[in-house]
Amino acid sequence: MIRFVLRRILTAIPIGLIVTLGVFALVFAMPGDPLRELAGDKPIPAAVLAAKRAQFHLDDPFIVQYLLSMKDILTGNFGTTFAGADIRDQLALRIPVTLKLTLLANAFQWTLGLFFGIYAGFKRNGLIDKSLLLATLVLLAVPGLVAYFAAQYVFGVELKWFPVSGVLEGFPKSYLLPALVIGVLGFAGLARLMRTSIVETVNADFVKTARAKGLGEQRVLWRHILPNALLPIVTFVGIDLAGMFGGAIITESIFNLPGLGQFMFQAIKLKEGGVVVLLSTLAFISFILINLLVDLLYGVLDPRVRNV
Amino acid sequence: MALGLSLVLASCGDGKSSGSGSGNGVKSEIIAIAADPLEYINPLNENGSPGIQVAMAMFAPLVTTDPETGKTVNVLADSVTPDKSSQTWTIKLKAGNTFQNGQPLTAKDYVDSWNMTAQGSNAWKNNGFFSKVEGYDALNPETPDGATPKPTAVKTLSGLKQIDDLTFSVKLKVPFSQFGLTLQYLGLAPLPEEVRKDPDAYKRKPIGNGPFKLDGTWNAGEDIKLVRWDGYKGPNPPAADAITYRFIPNADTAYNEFLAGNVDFVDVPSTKVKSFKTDAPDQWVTSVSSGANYLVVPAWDARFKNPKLRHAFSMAIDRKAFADLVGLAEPAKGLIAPDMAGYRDDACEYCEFDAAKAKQLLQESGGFSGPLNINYNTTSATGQIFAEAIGNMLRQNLGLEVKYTGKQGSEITELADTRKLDGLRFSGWGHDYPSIEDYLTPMFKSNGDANFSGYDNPALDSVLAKGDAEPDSDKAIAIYQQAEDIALEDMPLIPLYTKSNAYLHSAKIEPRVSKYTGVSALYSTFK
Amino acid sequence: MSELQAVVGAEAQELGDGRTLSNRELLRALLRKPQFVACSLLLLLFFTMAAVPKLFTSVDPRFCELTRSRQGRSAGHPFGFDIQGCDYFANVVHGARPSVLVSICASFGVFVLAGSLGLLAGYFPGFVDGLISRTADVLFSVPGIVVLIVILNSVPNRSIWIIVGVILLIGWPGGMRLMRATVFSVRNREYVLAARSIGVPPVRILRKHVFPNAMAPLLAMTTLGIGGMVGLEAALTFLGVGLQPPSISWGSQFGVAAAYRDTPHLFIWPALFISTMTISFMIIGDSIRDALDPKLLR
Repeated sequence: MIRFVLRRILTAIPIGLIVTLGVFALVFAMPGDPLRELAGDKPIPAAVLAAKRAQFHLDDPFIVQYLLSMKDILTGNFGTTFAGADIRDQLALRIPVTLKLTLLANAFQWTLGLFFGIYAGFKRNGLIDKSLLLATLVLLAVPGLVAYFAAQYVFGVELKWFPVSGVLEGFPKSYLLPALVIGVLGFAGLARLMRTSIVETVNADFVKTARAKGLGEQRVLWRHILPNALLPIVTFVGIDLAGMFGGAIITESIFNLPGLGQFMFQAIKLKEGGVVVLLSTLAFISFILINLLVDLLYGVLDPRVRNV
Repeated sequence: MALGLSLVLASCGDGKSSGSGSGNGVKSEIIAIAADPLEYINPLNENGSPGIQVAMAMFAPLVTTDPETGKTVNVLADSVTPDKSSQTWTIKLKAGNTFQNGQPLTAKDYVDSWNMTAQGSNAWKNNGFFSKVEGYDALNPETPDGATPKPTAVKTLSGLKQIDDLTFSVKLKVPFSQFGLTLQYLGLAPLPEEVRKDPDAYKRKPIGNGPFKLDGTWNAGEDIKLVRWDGYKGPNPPAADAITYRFIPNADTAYNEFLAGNVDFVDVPSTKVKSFKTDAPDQWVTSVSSGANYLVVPAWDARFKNPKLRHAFSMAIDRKAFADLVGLAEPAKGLIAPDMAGYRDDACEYCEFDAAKAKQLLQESGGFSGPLNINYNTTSATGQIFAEAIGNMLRQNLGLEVKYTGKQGSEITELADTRKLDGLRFSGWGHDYPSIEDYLTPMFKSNGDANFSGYDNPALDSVLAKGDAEPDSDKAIAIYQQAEDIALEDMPLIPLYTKSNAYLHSAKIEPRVSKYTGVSALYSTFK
Repeated sequence: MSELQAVVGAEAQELGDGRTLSNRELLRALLRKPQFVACSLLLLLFFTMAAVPKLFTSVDPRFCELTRSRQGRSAGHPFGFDIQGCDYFANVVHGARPSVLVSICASFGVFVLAGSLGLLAGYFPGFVDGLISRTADVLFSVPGIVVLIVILNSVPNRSIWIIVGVILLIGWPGGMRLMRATVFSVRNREYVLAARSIGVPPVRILRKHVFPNAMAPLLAMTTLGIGGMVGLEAALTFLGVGLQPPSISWGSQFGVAAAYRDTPHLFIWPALFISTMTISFMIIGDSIRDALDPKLLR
């Protein structure tokens, strides 16, 4: 087990290097001069441009720029953005925002998804089950953009139940609406998945065998049905958590949440390779950790899969 | 593109404050700024609209435009006097003004702050302002590509001289009759000695000399909270006791925040110009049309060389319909904004929509080969829409094949600067100081600061130089108008529209609206 | 997008244990379902619209009069006019092609790519699995939307095929991981173990035993995921990297209209078409999944 974890971490290192190098190369290859975006509308004198270029090593060759960025990341010396923001401050400000949003959205998604999914799974073809299937189908078909804009307009602007945007009213009030929308959209998937999984498992041979052996219903439920039914769910969580960061660009922009997604989007617009690489590194580390957890959980839940 | 800046600049002034009575409670307002949060406040290193807007509350300019009369009036300056040739300007400060840390405001603060900004290696954004001043080149030597500009041995502009505690003089490279007007730019506000020693340490705790100061501390990403500074002795201070600037990067979101009652003042984004009057009845104001917006014809592409072709393009555009699409806009009738002294609404001969004439002109010019590319900015919500509207008219009225390219603004600017951009693009301009000259010199003088099209006509340059040397302002305007005529005949920029801006304000405030200085939330009165 | 694939893929993961349907049986089972038939007809309609828009409207979608910008419906213009003053019905009809092309091509491409790589990775642990899975990790660990924005900002001309290509690039790891997980459990099933123990060559095992069982969920997943692609195309326009004019597509219509909420007809029509197409695909995907589910076979 420990060897497995160590091996995964060791293999992660070269992948991390490829990811950061790739991302840096992509941003580097983007056309346009990063400093011009900064300059705003007025032309900037050549000397000012040159000074800025030197400060951010923009005239160095690609690989040197990359290595300098990596050095800054590894030594924790993040420096400032082109616009002069202290990156460490920015992270301290933004990571909690993204975490709060993600966790709250997941809380909604899980509560709704597991509850309805399990309920519908056991009462298959009942009224709840039928309406759930229909509702989730509709939810899955609604493009996220429509849902975000509509929710902001109806619940924020018209009904004034929630703040329209921003994080001014703090946690949880400012995060409720975006988290609810993400949660409800995500719940559709989770509930369907859970339901199918329960149906499959309840009918599986090993459950029948367990019942035939005369095991109690509770024991069958907790020891046989749920662990097996949760298997596909675990995969889903991995993908879901890893994807949250990317999806947050649109959510954060519409609801004006100053999280990592907006930071990333801004950095891409400004072609700030260093910041993009830093954020990608963070995303990568969390991705690796989540995947490691998923794989370990898989091993715990499914005796057929052993991490040797 | 520069419009936001100019309107903000223009709205900095000494308003008539009606808030003489203390009234009931604290007069405070929250102003939304649709931009990313500021990282620092330093007027000398700031040329974008959000930063200048905040600087306007915390710093005071030398002179400003009177919102009632449109005349230039003194704020911190006691007098601004040119010599006979308009080449050397003497500025005398009023006595008794101080910074917010108590340090008296002297001529030395201006001279030293301006020298710091003029030093190229400091990379401060208003460096370019001083390129007109004698000795600028010594502080900004040519740097080879890739090299770090080194601080020069010379630390001061030879044209900048302190005469006594309250007086200093500026000698320009060439005569410039409009220099006095340029002094209202807030990006020239001085820093006190304490800050000059270590500007980085004061990024987030600026020390101003204007009507407001920071309230408490200000951290990264936070709203900027200001309170009235009682030490400000300038004329007609704003009525507010406290102002909060809230940064909301998405303009539509900012607008929604207003509708939900969370901010007192917000700009109406371009996507909402059709709906704001019903969204917030009785809570909106609009400015007079200002600034100017153009279609840029690249001088570096020989296919566009014939002026008749440009006139054909110009006459194929239904400006009225286009202005309606833009919203709150008026068809352009010349190259300068209608609120400028010297504006003529019959300046442009080829700005009438006439499809038949346009077609005829196109034929006379020999036609246009290949597809016509129109570039638009993808970071602007309306870039693509405006490009398609122009494209449809050129396609349908002239029978051209049109294609479109959406790119980020910076990429378009860079391609244009390196003369590689293919086809037309949009541009806008708003003045930094209220003079018709501030339209003509930047955009049409060869090597002008904002010569978007790469236009180069020695005849026009010499007319401009004549205007710059003319001390009498009416005579100068007449000369500048000749330059406008030349530019309209060559038409490197096709005039499109001028635009008013709309703003929403809460019921408790009434923003100041002036036909000279635009709409100002800073100078709101309270109900 | 990958999230949706994940749901559906995992949802269909346990399908097809032991027994598979022949194509003819599958079709017969599907045709018995009225919702499948109805949705197929709807899709057929959309496909026809994409292939031959002129069947539905004779109006030139590019004929625009700016003075009619955003006018409501009138005689001969059932959907009114768009922002440019072009007939909106003609535009929505002509907008079907890029949207259908992007969603179908991207989905099919992801199906093929994710399917074959997932099969290999799941069946051959060790080097092959390591190579594919780590590559997927690399692509997966960068948020897909970031790669989309960066690449689409860099290319000189954003065509349908470039958008499809980028979706393929970032889309396959999601499907591959699920396919791999499915194969993972299938390869330890009794019938595979039995086949292996009697010396059946791996290619044959993959073809005869593993692939048929693993293909079913992937098929359902792909059908169910197609709708999301149209939504993704709209999101790209919102982020400023969508299709450029003169291309006409539902996604860009919708992305542009999202900013003009005061003219609801601009927003409603493309949203309605996108959602109808998405739901149709989903119901079809659902039907396929049900039909393939052995436990539902009576």
